[in-house]
Amino acid sequence: MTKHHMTRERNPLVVSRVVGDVLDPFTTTVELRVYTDGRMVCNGCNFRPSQVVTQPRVEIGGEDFRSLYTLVMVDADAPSPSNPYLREYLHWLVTDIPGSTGAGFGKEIVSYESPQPSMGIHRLVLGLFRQPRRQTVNAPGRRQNFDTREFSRLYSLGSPVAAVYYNCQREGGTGGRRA
Amino acid sequence: MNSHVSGGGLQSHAQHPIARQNSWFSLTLAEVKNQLGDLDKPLGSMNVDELLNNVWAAEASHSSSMNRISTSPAAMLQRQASLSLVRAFSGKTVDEVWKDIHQGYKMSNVKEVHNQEMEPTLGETTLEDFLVKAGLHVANASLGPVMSLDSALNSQNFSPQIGSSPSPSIDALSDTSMPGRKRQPGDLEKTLERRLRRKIKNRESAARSRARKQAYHNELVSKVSLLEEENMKLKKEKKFEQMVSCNFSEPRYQLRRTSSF
Repeated sequence: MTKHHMTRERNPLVVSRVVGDVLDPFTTTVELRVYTDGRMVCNGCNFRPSQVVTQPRVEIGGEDFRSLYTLVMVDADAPSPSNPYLREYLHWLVTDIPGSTGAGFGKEIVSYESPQPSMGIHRLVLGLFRQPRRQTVNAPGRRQNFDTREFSRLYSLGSPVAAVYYNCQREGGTGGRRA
Repeated sequence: MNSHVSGGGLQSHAQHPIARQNSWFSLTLAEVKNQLGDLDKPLGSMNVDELLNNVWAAEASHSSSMNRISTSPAAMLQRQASLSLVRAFSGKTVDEVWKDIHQGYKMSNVKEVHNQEMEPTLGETTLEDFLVKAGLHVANASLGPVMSLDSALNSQNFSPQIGSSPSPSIDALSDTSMPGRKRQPGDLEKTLERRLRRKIKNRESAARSRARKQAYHNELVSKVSLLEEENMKLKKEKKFEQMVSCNFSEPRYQLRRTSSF
């Protein structure tokens, strides 16, 4: 037990606890590109509500049109990161997305609801899953307290094949610092 | 009451953090896990004393050249407090202790907002807060024969008093400002708990802030290296294309038509 820093975690999804709070550990096997407000979404970047009003443009990799994918978007810190009793809040759910296309080609089960955090800095997570086949998915009764892991189990989606997250705080927020 | 405390009470001691910059106790358990690297078993299934031994070993190897951290009176007291805690939990794992803490909360209605509040996950709590909560739990459950970590936090001013009474911190804080009604034995504890909870919330917020910063930093670092690679590749491709197009343009000039007959 001599070397303690050799395997320090670097993956932003782990460091930010997205893996842990929302997703199980996974390996990225499919490309996931998310664009909002003209910008590409990279892990940990910041957006204000006004920049994410409309649903993001999502393009995915994948071998061919025959593989189908499910996209889940949740807020991991609803209503507040210090007391996230509504975790996870479901913002968007799209299924049957053909490989190498985009979310626009899939079936929208839960429509996009734009994030409007009132307290704290929230992590908005987009997770991509490979479906075993084309399947019917029932929309959950409500958006709050969604459980992505349970959803994946229920529909045999397995581990995520890709994920990305961004930070969002209310328009007048001071970036976590006292004004 | 030999109190070394001025009117600020617990507040001023909060400014003397046990967890100095290079102490592991201010890290969240998730951060501790990352720093410890590969372990035989997940953090949650470790016994509390195993976890502490791992942390102290790591701290020692990290700061072997700087003796002040590992042998300062505050650090030694912290270890004593942690060890007595460990004895109180008699070999339970971290996960089990965490469960006990939360069952204790439900029973005693400690929290002001019970039904709506969700406790932070084990990974989000700092090591220090975990031990503080454990200490509080033990103090509540058995009326504190164990020296709580709370007193260790105030150790810098109370060193002569430690060990002489079951809850030295409470005696010493008799000077603190009180709610405006008849003093009852429970009040001091409640004030303490409220302040500790505020401190814990603050630490959790700081930990989230650190995680946010670190995650974004790591993302940018990997993006930069990806872009540098891509850039080099594209520049090479551009050069290659330029060389190739040069070979074709010369003959074209020679073959130019001068008339259309």
